[in-house]
This record gives sequence, C-alpha cells and structure tokens, in this order.
Amino acid sequence: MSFFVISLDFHSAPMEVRACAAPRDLSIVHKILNPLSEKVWLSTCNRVEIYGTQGPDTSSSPEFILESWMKLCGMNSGHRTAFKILKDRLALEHLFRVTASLESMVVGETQIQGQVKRAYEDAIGNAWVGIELHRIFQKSFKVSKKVRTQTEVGRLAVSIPSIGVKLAEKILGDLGTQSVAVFGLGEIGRNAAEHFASVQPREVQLYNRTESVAISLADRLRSQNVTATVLSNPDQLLENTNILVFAADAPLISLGDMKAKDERGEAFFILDLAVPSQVPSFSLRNGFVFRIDDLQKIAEENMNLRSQELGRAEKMIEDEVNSLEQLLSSKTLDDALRDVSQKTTMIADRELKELRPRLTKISDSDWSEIEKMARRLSSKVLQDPVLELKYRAKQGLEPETILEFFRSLFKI
Amino acid sequence: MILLLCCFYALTTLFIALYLKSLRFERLRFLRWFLFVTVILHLAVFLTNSSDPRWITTSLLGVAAWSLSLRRSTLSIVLVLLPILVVVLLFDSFNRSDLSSGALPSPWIWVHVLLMIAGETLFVLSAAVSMVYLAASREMKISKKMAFFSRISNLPAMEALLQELIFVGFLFLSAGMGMGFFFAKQYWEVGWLLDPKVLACVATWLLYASLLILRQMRSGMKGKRSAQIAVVGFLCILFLAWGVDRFFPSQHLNYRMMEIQP
Repeated sequence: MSFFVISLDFHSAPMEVRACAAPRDLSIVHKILNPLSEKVWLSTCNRVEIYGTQGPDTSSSPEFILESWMKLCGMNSGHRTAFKILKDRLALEHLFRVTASLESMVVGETQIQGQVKRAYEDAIGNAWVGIELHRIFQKSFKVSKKVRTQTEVGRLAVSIPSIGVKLAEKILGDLGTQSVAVFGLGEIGRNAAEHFASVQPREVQLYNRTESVAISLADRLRSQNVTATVLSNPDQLLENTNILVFAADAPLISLGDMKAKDERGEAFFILDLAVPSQVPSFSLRNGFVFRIDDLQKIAEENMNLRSQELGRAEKMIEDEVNSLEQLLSSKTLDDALRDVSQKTTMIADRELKELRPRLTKISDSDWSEIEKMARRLSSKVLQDPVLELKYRAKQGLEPETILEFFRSLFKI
Repeated sequence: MILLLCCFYALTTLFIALYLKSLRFERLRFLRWFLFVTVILHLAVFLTNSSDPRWITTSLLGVAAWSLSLRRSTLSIVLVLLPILVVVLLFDSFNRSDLSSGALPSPWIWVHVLLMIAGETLFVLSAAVSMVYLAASREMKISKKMAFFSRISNLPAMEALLQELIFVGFLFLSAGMGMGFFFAKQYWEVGWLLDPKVLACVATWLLYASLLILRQMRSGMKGKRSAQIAVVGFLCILFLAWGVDRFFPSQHLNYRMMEIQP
C-alpha cells in the first residue's frame, strides 16, 4: 500500500474551479472515494484534497480516482493541470506542511489544523480510516503543534494581504467575532477579501461601484461557507465594522467619518491598499491606519526573519517524515518477518509430518528432540538474513527495494 | 547576593531583548532556563535570609516573570517586569526592615499583610502589562512596525489580562484594607484614619475602583486610557509600599524593627 494525495489548491486553481471540485452533494464525494479502502476528504476555502492509500487494484490508483473525480464534478480535461498528485514521501511532506499551515494563504493561520482534524474525524465517522492513515494523520497533528510552538514561522507573514490579516488580529484579536468590509473589488481588493475570508471572520461585507462584481464574489465566498453580504451604499460600511479595507481608486471615506468613528472609543483597523492612498491622514486615538508602504516595510523585515525560521520548520518536517517513514517501513518489515517465520514453521511441520511414519522405532522423547532440532535449524538459517534486513531498514538503505528482494527471495 | 540576583535579572532582560530582535528559538529556550535558575536562587535567598514580608513581593514577581516567559505572547511583559523587579530588589536591600511578630497585637494581622502584598504584586504586574500595551500600540500606530513589542503581543489579549489583574488585585486590596481598618480601630489610638499610610491606601483604592467602574460604563475607557491609569496606579503603589513610611510618620512603623539604624 502506498500513501498519496490528490490536491487542488489556491496556488494552482482560482476559487471557481475549487468550488466546482468540491461538490456539496455528499453522495458524489462518496462515489469519488468509493474505490479507496482508506481515505480522507479535505475541503476548505483554499484547498480540496483527497488523502488515501493505494491498494493492489488499478481502480484505487490516484490517477484513476482523479479521472473519476473530474468526471463526477463535470470538470473538463483542461482543469487536469490544476491538480497535483503526490505519493509516499512527497505526500507525507505535503500533509505535514498543510497541517502546520505552511501551505496556507495566510501562513500560520490556525483554522487549517481544525479543518484537517474535522476532515479526519469525519473520515473516522465514515469508517474510512485504517491503521496507516491513522498513524499518518496523528503524526501530522503532532508536527503541526511542534512547528507552531517551536518556530516563529507562523507569525511572520510576507505577502501584503497576509500582513493585513495578521495586523488586524493583533489589533482586534480573534477575527471570528469581527466583520470585515472591503471597498473596491479590483484584483487587489478581491485578493484581500479572499485572505480575510480564509480566516473565517463573522462576516465579509463587499462594496464595488459595479455591483455585479461584488455579487459574484459574495456568491463564491458563500459557497466556501463564509458569510458575505453586498452593500449598495459605502456609507453603511463604517457603521458596523471595525476592519475596513480600501482598494478603490476613489476616496470613499471622509475625514469627518473617520473622526466620528474614532470618537466611539472602539479600536478599529483601516488597511489602505489603494495607490495613491485614499484614506486621509489624521491622528487617531483608537484607529490604526496602515498604508501599502507600511505593509511593504513589514514584509521586507519579515522576509529576512522568515528565511531563518522557514528553514527550521522545513527541517522539523523532514525529520518527522523520516521517522514516520521508518515507522511505516518497520511495520512492513515486521509483516515480512512474520510471513517468513510462518513459512519456515509450516515447512518444518510438513516435513516432520512426513518423517514421523517412517521412524517407527524411536521413542517419544527422541522424536521431541528431532522436532526441536527442526525448528532450531529453520530459525538459525534465517538468523543472519533477518539481522541484515533489520540493520539495513534501520539505516534507511533503500528499505523498500531490500524488502521486496527479501520477499521475492523467500517467495512470501 | 542581592546584587548577583539583580545582575541575573538584568542579563535575562538582555536575553529577552535579543530574542525579540532575532526571534531565534534557541535563545528563548536558554533564557527560560536562565530565568528559572535565577528565580530558584531568589526564592532560596528569600527563604534563608529574610524575615521582611516585602521580600514576598519580589519573589512573587520573580515567579510571575518566569511563568509569563513560558508563553511567547507574554514574553514582552517579562521584558518590562524584570527591570521593575531589579529596582524594587535594590530598594528593598537598602531599606531592610523586619516585621516583628512579637510586636504584633494579633497574629491575624499577618493575613492583612499578605493580602496587601498580593494586591500590590498584582498591581505591579498590571503596570507591566499596561506599559507593554502602550509600547505595542505606539509601535503599530506611529512607527507602523511589527517589531519588538508588537511582534508577539496581541492588544486584546493584553487588555483582557490587564482587566483580570486589576480586578483580582482590587479584591485583594479591598480585603486587606477591610482587615486593616478592623485591626486599626481595635488596637490603634483615635485618629487612625488620618494615618498617612491609610490615606495613601484609600487614595490608591479609589483610583483603581474608579478605573474599574469607568471601564464598565464607557467603552472608551478601555485600552489606552486604562493602561495609562494603571501606570499612574503603579506609581501610587510604589509610594504606598515603599515611600510613605520614609517621608511621613505612620503608626505602621511601630511594628517594624529597622535593621539599618543610623
């Protein structure tokens, strides 16, 4: 059995394609996953993935599963390149990176671990998880915790919208209780809206001069279980939200509005992504205003610090993948040793059974000695090959090839 | 020994500053161990050498600093707390006085002393949290940076911690004052209410009571305003715990045996 993942994420596919690949009808998901004995279905705003183990039959191969997935979701062959298939070591690395939030849109966000956990628990509820996936997912949660607690990588965002999200979290705390308003839905505004949506705020409010753009984005966000509303009047935005993102090329907020909001006494956060800036400069007591230049400076500083931290996180993941691989291969090694031991015992029993009628003149105690000798002989013949096999597996010297050779040597 | 402790605490402060600048995890692990050893040393010195109850404050602050260092999000509080601790330690070492148990009219007065110390310790902690809140807020609002304080601090979490510390500190202070009034009325001569230490204590209590009430009534009092008031409260606490006895004749002094005599 080999572990694999079929992944479609925000790096390779836009939101519409991801939404298409994540059918709401669970019976379709069940149909896609049916050929697999062990499987986990992960669907979030930013990724749709199948984790599974491949059996001996071709219908459980990742290529076959992907074909059926695309067919059942009505996707055309042009979308094939957006999916990636990773196997064994690469698949383990991918899962560990996803759970540790290194593959997230906002690196270090904590939702993803909960989403992976829910996906895993759902799979357990459906009896889709066996020993192998159980071990792999449990390990991934441990790795995620280790990366989060022992590195700073999750705290150092380097993309402009991610820094915006991190700043908002620092100023206003948990964004799950906050409403986010985005003014202007050009490329930058849409990107910012998607980043904020990825941390599951209470609500995302959208405003764009061409309302159809806002409606279409709101629909897409809703399909990802994000509460999104479209506003027809920008004045409404200041009323009930404390996170304001400006990405429009026209001034939508006046100095008076800002002063009025400041006087309410609640902290609020303004992210001005427009060039030139559209938010008036004013000293605020409760408001925190960040412009694109400020974010770029933070990005540069974080980039330097993150290169050191990312290296440490990658090393942790590599070490954990090595240890898990060893664990999984030792399980296979144990199986092989058990099989060869069973085979030799079976041969010894058969030979003894054939020999017994021919030795009529020997006593029971003598026969018992012969039996013992037969078993000692078989175990002594196996002793050196078994020790060598264990040594090589421990050293990580092409364990799979050696194990395959061992099995073919003894025809087990 | 006190000077050695102060040096260790100062070194830990330096290590924290280096960590906040570089964010290297090895440094964090090292500084946590270093602080742990320093706090153990501090407790050992306290338990073996002193009968001055004010040592409890510094020891509690040391333990609090170590426990706050275990979480990265509260590490910046330790950065502010340790210099305060060093100053208090130095001040205590030059003004040592023992509470003479034999001179106390009732052993229950120890409860009053301990309650007051617990309250004062919590208010010192709240001041450290307030200073970090103000520094992080300034860093983000004016310098537009996520460096040093703001890199690991989360303003709402600091706000919540500040509220808890002030609230619990206020409960201890109120209970300690209640007991103090009871004993003063019973054992002191008439006019105990005008004792300078009692007056300073009442003023401090009023300040924190107003802060807690205003925070409930007006949302604008939360955050920066609360933090500023908590820093002022800290100055009151310093005066109450370490200053008032020096400058004004208080009946509290009757129970102390000053070790350093002129």
